[in-house]
Amino acid sequence: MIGANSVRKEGRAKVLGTAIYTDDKFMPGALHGVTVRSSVPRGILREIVFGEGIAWDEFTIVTAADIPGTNRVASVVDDQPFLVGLGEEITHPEQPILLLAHSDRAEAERARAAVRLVVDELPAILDIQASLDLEQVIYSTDNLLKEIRIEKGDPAPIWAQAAHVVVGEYRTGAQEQMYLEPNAMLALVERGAETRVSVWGSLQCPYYVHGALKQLFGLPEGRVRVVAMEMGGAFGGKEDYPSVNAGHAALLSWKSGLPVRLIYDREEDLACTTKRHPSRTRLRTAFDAEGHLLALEADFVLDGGAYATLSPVVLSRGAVHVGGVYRCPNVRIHARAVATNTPPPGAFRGFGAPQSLFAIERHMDLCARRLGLDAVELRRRNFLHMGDTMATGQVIREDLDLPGLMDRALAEIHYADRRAAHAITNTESGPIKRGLGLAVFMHGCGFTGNGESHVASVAGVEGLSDGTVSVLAASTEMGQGKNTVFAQIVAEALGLPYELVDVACVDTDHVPNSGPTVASRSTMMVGRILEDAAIGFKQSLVQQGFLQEPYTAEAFQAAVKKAVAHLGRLRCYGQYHRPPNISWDDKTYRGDAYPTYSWGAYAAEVAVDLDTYEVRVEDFVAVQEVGRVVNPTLAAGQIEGGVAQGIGWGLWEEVTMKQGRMVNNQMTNYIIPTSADLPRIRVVFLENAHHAGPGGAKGIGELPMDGPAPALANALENALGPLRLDEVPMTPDRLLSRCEEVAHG
Amino acid sequence: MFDICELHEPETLLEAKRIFNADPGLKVIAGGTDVLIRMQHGGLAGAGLLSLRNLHELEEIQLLGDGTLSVGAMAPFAQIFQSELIQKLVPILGEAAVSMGGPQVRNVATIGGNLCNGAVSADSASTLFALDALLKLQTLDSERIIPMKDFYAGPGKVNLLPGELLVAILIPREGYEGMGGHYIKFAPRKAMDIATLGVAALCRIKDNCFQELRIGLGVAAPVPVRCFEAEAYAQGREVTLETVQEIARLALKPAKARSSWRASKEYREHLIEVLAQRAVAEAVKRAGGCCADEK
Repeated sequence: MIGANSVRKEGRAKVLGTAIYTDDKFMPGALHGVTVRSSVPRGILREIVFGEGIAWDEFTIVTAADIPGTNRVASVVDDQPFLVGLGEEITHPEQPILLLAHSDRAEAERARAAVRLVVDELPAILDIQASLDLEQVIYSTDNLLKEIRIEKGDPAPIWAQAAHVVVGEYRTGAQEQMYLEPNAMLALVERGAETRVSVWGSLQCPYYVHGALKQLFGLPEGRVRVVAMEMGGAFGGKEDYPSVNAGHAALLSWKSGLPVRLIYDREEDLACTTKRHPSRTRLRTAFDAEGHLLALEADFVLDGGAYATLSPVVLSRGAVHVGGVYRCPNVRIHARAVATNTPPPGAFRGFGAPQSLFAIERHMDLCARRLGLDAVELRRRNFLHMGDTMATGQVIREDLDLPGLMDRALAEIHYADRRAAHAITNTESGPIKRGLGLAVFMHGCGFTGNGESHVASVAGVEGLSDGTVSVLAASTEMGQGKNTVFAQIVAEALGLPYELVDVACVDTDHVPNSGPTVASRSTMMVGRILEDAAIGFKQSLVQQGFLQEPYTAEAFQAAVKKAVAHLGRLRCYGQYHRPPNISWDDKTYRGDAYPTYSWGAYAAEVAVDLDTYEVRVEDFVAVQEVGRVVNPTLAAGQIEGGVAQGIGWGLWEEVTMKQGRMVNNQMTNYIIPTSADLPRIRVVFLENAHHAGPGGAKGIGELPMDGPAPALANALENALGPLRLDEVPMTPDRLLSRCEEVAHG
Repeated sequence: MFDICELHEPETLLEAKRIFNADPGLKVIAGGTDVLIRMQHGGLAGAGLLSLRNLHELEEIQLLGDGTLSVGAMAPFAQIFQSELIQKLVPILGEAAVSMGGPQVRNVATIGGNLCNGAVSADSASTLFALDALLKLQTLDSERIIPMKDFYAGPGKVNLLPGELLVAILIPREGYEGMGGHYIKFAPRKAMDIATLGVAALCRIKDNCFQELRIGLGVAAPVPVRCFEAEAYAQGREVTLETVQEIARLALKPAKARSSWRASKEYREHLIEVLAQRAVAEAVKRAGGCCADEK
């Protein structure tokens, strides 16, 4: 079963149009909610003025003063209010101030426009440097949302004696997830002696929302219910934000006594919800005369926006990945997430790693040039191997073959031949110049550090009265194929046909907390727990005399039917256990940052038109080692989609901010690539089963986001010659100005 | 969220003109790909709409007796691109039509709507400018035929009288006969995008000399423009690489590029020059000419 291209569990309903998304869910009498937001980046809220021409008595109106529990969104740090109250500080220009609900959506929109906010404006911090310079202190005493130091060896004595020291600075911009379905939530609060809060929404992490609603309303565990509806994509964009909009919808329902639907349109979603953190990375590296890396110093800074949200953990992943796939005895990493008066960024596929890996993989090409070595050769001399230690002191315990991975990518793209051919054709007079570039990288599977131990995920399997088996987990299906992969893993563990296993609706009243659906952890971490649960389930059937091994599918089904009839409910759970050889110290940032990593080597061929500075990606090869592949079709789809997003980030996708607000918040001016803009993406899996995952599987979802941008930048430099390609996206406009820098010396 | 107070859907042009005459405050809607977006953003609140979608008489593309090609204002872009007449006589208009939006948009968006919307980025506008096209405008009791340049009044503004409808685009025989043409739409991505620049070049070549050259630019100034200096320079000159380069340089003259977050002024001006050169070079080739260095 593992390794088969099983048919997608939810595919049929999606194809037939019968899948129920949040906005499709019918609830009689539901009101339409809207959010009134600040328009200034920073200030003190003095007054809310309800304008003329609106029948305000028809509206449900919620302000901060109405909140029954705690006005803080439960997150890593509880610093973000659901609503800003009078006299309180507004800290970004999309800050929610007031909630309105009405039975007529158009009327609700009219009312939203009729509210005027009186604000005493304060000077705002809008970028990383202004925040670091403490032009204004807007968060704590130092504007730092989180600071991390990772130390290994001692780089200090190296700089003076090294044969080569190379310094570089790299920047990446914000990126929108651009899921097709904007954020959407439907809430129903039944008030009474036992208030009960229920939400149905487009969300990745049911138990994050569950926790946020408990805190907002001050309710115990059993009185909050979160149901994950069919989801039109997420990519991290529905990891932490749904805690906010679920709270808003629930507050409106709590006050009105009616169900409330809070559906963002595209523009509101783009302007207000989370994006990839903008970054600035400064790197200093020392090499000996043979090109061996002796020391690495990294200053990694993320723009974390107005509140901490997920920035501490995004920073942590970014910091751990900044050393890349290279062996280095002496390392100093200083990582900071700084506050700015902009809407908080959040999770997006890669979670800090694409930013720092862009820096190191771009830097390696720069180093190769400075050292007079080929970029491939420099990498080869410095790759991590089994037994080597990473920056955190983590020892590579698996049979890691980075040269093999890189060589496969080079062979697939005919690296040597095509480079030689381009060297000739690029000297011809035409405007098209071609180049090849490479990036080799890794992505840590599951949470960083002790994250998995803290969550202590639980997942299970249940026998149903028809003899089939149902998977119980809070992991959500967002298009990635979780339902299919979980069913495959359980079917494999039970030795059953795939058709006899299905996945239960993700409803916190029904499924245990298997943790959030993030961090490339569902297949590897939750899948492994499910494997244990399935085996436990089978053993208990055997022990209680319902089943005898070996068995046929029919015998198993009959046994489950009989057991359910006898026992009523038949469930077996598994829980995460930290593997014995893994340790992590969160204070010193030493130890095993991840149980394992997925590894990738991506190669890109680009053609640049020197008349227009347009870049066309003509070929793309994605070679990766992700343990054992559970479902090749779904896995290849993940890689292709991630590469497409990576190419978009590298070449086109630019969030343009003015006074802390996104101004290109439409699909027509925030440019994501179409299929016409992308090459055929050639996906190769080199399998190397890993003991920590089910059937040897590792994480896969985020890895493909990490490689494309640096591979493209390196390819561009190969096409055009030495160039300051230190920033994404590499738009034609930016490329023109960088080429002119070279022309003008 | 469409705040629409009334909708008229006449079956004939005469009926449409009567309704519009009686209530010139109505907003005319053709394919709806611009009007409905504006309404969704809260614009035109409470508008009454006059829909032309049932006026099939305005969808016709035909060759008139005097050689004028008449394109009905309600012809959708997909139909224009697929029209044999257009492919044969003015393939450049087909190029412009197919560069617009994606298939779904091209199935409903009409050429008349594209022009009357007044957007400087309209893919058909720069091409029709270069074709010396005329616009046939009618009210209930009058008709006038005006050149493109008199139609554009400013960004998003066109000269339509109260109760007046654009019924057809007329491309006179002299506008297209014997001309080779090329339209370049420049946009960040290859589909579903709005032009950063549109360049339409048309030329007639005899003995490898320019008999006539016309260049239309979109998104280079607040309204679509013609490059008259470049055109005058070309007149009678031999087609050489140098001539084409000088034409491209002169094509910058009518441009009023400005910096916006979409593109800098420098980059826009750079684009106008290189793309004008490309468009003219390709138009020359299609007209049977040859740039000196390719001989």
